[in-house]
Amino acid sequence: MSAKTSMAAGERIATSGRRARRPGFLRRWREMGPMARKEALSGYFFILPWIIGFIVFLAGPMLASFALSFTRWNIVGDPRWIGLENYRQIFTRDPDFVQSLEVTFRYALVFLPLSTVVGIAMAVALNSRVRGVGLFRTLLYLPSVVPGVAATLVWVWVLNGRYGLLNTILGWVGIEGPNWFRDPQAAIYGIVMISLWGVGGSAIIYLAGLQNIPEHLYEAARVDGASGWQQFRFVTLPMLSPVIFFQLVVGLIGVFQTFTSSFVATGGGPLQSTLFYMLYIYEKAWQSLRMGYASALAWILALIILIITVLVMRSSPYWVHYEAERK
Amino acid sequence: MQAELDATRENVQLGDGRRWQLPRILRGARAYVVLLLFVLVFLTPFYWMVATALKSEVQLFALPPAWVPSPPIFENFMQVFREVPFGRFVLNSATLVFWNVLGQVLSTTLIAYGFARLRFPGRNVLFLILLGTLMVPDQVTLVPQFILFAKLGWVNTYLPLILPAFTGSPFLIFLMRQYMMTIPLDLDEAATIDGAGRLQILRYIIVPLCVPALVLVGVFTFTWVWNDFMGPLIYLTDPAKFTVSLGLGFFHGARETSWHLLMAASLMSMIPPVILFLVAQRRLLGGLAAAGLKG
Amino acid sequence: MKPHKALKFATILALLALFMVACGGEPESVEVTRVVTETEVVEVTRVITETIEVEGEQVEVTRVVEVPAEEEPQEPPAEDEVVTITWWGTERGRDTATTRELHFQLARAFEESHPNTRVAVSLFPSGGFGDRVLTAIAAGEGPDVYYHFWATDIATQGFLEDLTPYIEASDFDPQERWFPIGNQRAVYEGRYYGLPRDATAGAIAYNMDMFDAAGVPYPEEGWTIADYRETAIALTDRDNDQYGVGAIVGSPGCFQWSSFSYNMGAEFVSPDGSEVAGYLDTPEAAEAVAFCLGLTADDQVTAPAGMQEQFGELVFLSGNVAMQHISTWELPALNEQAEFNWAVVAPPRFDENTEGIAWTDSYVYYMNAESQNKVRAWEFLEWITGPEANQIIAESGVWTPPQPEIWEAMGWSEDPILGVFWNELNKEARVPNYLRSQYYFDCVGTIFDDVWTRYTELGETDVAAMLAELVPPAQACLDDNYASQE
Repeated sequence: MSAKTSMAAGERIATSGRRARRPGFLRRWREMGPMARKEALSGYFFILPWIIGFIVFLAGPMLASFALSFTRWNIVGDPRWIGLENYRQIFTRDPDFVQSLEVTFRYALVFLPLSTVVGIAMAVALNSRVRGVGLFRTLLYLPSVVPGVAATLVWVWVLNGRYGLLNTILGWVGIEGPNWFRDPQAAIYGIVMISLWGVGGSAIIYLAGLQNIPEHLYEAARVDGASGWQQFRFVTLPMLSPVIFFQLVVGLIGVFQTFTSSFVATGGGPLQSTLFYMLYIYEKAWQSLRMGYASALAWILALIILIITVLVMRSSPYWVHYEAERK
Repeated sequence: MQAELDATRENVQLGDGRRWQLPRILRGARAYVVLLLFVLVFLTPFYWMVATALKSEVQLFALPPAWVPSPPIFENFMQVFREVPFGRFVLNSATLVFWNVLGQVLSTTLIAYGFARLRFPGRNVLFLILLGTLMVPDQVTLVPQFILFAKLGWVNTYLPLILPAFTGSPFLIFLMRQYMMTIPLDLDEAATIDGAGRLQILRYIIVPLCVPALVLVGVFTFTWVWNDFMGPLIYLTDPAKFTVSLGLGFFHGARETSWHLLMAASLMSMIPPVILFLVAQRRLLGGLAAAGLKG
Repeated sequence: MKPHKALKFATILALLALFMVACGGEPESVEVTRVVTETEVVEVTRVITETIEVEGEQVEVTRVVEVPAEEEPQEPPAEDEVVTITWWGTERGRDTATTRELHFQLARAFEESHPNTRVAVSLFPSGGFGDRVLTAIAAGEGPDVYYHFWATDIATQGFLEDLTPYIEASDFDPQERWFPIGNQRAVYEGRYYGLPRDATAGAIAYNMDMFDAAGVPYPEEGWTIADYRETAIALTDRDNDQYGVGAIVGSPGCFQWSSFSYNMGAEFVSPDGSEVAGYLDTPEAAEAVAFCLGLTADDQVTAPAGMQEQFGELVFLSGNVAMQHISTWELPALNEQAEFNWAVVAPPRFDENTEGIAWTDSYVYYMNAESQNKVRAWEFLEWITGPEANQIIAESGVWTPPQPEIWEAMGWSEDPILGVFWNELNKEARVPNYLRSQYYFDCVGTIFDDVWTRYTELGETDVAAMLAELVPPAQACLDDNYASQE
């Protein structure tokens, strides 16, 4: 069938000399067999809704914000073209840019691994075949349904230095907790906790992945004498890798856009220790009405995320296992 | 890896002797302990929400804080309805949620199928663009997008809050694509040989196997749209069209906040998504595993 | 090399150098202090004469600035043409239904006396309201009239209608109609860009029961900051969760949202909002900041951090806070909820030889410069800030109107509680520091947070040194922001 046709075409190109580079769009289109062409056409057909949405709703605003990053624009007036000035300023004399980037990266390095481990652990627990597990799933999903502002405000309470729940409990075991959102060392961990509270959302994605692993693989592994850990390592993890890959990419995009918790709980302080990149963009855009500058910041962020995402995607053939993958 | 899996598959077919395992009851007990621990850690902050929702206004400000509201003021929940037209807001949110869930389920299924199981030139680049749209922060596209919708004359209607759902959320498309990529290709190929068209394959083979992912799409869409604050805030002008999330915002002022009412209203607003989840989570059971197709 | 070639070469070099200067590094920084001495409007250009001090020498410079061409006044709609204007406001977080009711009541009352104008009211959550307004204005969908708390110099951004000509054409005197703060908040460089919605002032509420129990005499008008501190210490009993001072004055808000800094002779930002250097790095400023920090970190008389941010002034309702800086905003809650005896006293002055200075503030009504219904919008603005509307507002109790006449008519000026605020509102008014510059929270506000953290958490005690370190970057930030407007 079609797979073979196009593979033959692919081989021909690959062996036809010069460089083993992917051929251009037109070249590939011309060399396609009728079946492959039909498959490609239906491919475009299926993704058409997204293409339309992209062109109608997204492309314009995105291009506009890119163009605006070369302007001065106070939102309400007319933008004025200033070339690379915004970028020049960001890279040469904007300490807050460096600070917010650093905060965001530090947060990402703590939060991403933590949320992956806790998310998978929670999903494994929720995957138990015990009575009432549905109730537990709901209970653990509950925090991610709490409206953002209310959730943050609850945590401001929980993390109060003198009267907060956490420090009270820590006090019982003789630990004196920090003054969380007032302490420049601790504040970012407070934000990590707020975000981690909503990990139920990603846990159920892992759960759906776990549920999709056929029981017989485990049975077979047990027959081979695999311990619980080995089953997890050699069956669960590889079978879950597409989901982990998804969570990693989405998580990356998400951590770089963390906003509400720092906006509501700390406003970026103390000592700018929670000045997240998005918070900084927000301040420039809406407090100082420098939307052009904010757009430049935003596009730098997009580029950073893009590079990291591409790196992660490049790495995926080495660790992500798909049942249905054709090159 | 694949070889290993294949080897185990082999073993299953031959498999007979089971190893000794913990008795079922004990295994269950261990699971409960772990689950209870999770619940304890994750729901303790939630307790604070409930307690706050039941406090009198004076109790809210007690120093040191009162852990248990005494007496609990259930009246606070009624008070929410007197302060804001909460019922109206719920109906409005429900309308938005309905169309969004419908739109996302339809569009993500189609789009993800295209990206996951069909080959076409430019697929990877397009997919990267799709992800790329997530990477540019909303903050800076918000105003141009608003201007666009204003030019279309859609401000103060639900259209800007509904129509984009029919073009798929990149996050959900990606989620769906990942799920579809765990379904073996031989299924489609077998069906193709049987003469099924691609829409039929999607409808009769892929969709039934993707129920868990569809459930996730539905649940996430519901939760986001239900809690979305910025969208309705920016696009709606007429208070009669306002949503639950805006209603909650009414209790959180620049200088003052009605803590008890904010928490009571937040709790009530959580009921629909939680009930939905309680019902839907049963369907998270793997389509493949359930259908026994992978065995 | 032939001469003309050399010339050419030199020209190219010079051009290159020019180009590099133009695109390249910063111009050399020169100490420039600028004092605007007079402004004079001449037809379409404004002549600004200013004295600039360049490295010690006084230079008088005259700038001619083009005043945006006066737009043709909008053709008034025919008397009998029914026009709908939009009016946006925010909910306040408390008494939601009452607040909404008041807005509708005002709109209906206006429509009754102006039958050809309809008012469409939209009340939004206060979070994100500024963004909402700006986004709408950017798309030409902005409201005709709205209220907000922009800094006064936001007028430079050009989206606020200059209301001066309208006021001049009317037959009321703004200075007479509104409290001093109402006029100050609405004015930028001598022109009205808004009208006051309300007027509030700061005062100290105190828990009489706690004073009685501790045998401490009640504070009296004319008390000093030293008295304030002593009283706070006398009434604090941390082991029993009793605090002399509650929120705001026990937090970074002490610097900003109260009269303490004024009374200690400190101004943090220049009146026009552009300078922080020379204001926040003075000994007076350091003293004011150190006073606030001392209350929390050294005397430990303030309610715990975090409680304050969350509960604001209402932490007073706990009954465990002896003194609380409040404004008229908190009165409805205190009247309704307080389960103890309380009273209000004027904020402490600096010492026996000085007059107390008040902290006052107000929301401001603005007209959208892009409004299509300016004539009717002005009618509404004039009405809503005038006696009829302010009477309705006063009776509703949602906020305190900006019109002294109404206060007197309501008997508030004689009221034991409101009378204290009345006195404050009639004192000399200053635009609060945080409302002088639209870039305050971007550039200046963080200083207080930083000093606070370094003093209370990291144990640094030299406030003057910290301010000296933090002010120059803040000034650079302001300069950069203002430069970005040019």
